[in-house]
Amino acid sequence: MKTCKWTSKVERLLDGESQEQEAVQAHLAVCTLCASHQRTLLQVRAALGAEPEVPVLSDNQFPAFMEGIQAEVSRSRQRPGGMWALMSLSAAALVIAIATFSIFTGPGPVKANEVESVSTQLNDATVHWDNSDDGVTTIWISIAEDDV
Amino acid sequence: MFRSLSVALMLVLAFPWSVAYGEARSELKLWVVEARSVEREATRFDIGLDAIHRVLSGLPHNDYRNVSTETHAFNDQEVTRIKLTSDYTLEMNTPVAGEDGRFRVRLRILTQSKEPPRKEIEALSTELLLRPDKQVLVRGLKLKDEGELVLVLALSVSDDAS
Repeated sequence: MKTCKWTSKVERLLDGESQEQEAVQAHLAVCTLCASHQRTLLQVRAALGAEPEVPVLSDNQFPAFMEGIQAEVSRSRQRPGGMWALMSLSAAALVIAIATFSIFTGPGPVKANEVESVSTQLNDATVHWDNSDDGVTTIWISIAEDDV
Repeated sequence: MFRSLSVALMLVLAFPWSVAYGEARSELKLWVVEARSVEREATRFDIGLDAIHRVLSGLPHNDYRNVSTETHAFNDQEVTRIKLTSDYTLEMNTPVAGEDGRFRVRLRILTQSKEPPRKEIEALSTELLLRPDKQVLVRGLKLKDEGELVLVLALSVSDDAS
């Protein structure tokens, strides 16, 4: 790669630090290497200059910056937002729907009588039971003739 | 806040339910009948047995005497004893409401044992799930002379909250 000894002088010229501006300008007019180097440097600077400027926080701005963050955080906590609020509302709606359904439909169809257990201490006696079609439950104690 | 609201809603909505079941009061209607077979064509029912004609009609007798008819209101945690005849006593606990609308009842019919030493024994011990206004017929308790003692029970429910 070809280089020119004036390269560093061209860079100082671009930085505004050159002590010999006229001589460097004259050299650029005749040296294609330095002229090319100057163009490259100018293109790089132009590209860097297009980037947004990063804000810099000074020390006296920092407390206000932190207060702003805290205020926003506390406001977010107070305000039910997003998925949790939606889930809470959905759960409450579900509870209301189930309870309303239960209240208006009642405890369900009432069944017939049911005999869970029967027994007797009478000698030679047995107990039977049945339900008739019209819902009457009959419990029948069969006792031997001479038992009572 | 929303979680608290949900819990409160559940409590509020569950409250009428507990009242409906917790405050239900039950009454027992009891007919005590002596049933016999006599030499007569027509079947005879005593006055006061109109409500149970249909139930008694299925029995193989033609004479039905109304020994007693009574309505008993239960109090909490009570065991009720009702003297049916000189030989039989009915013992019944306070019906307990179940979730399906029926009432759990323990019922005993007590009598004296025939063999000495005479002591109180259970002619019948049963545990029932009773649907209100559906009748239960207990039969087969021998009378001293002839025939049988018949009981007809029906539970009715009233809501104290109303």
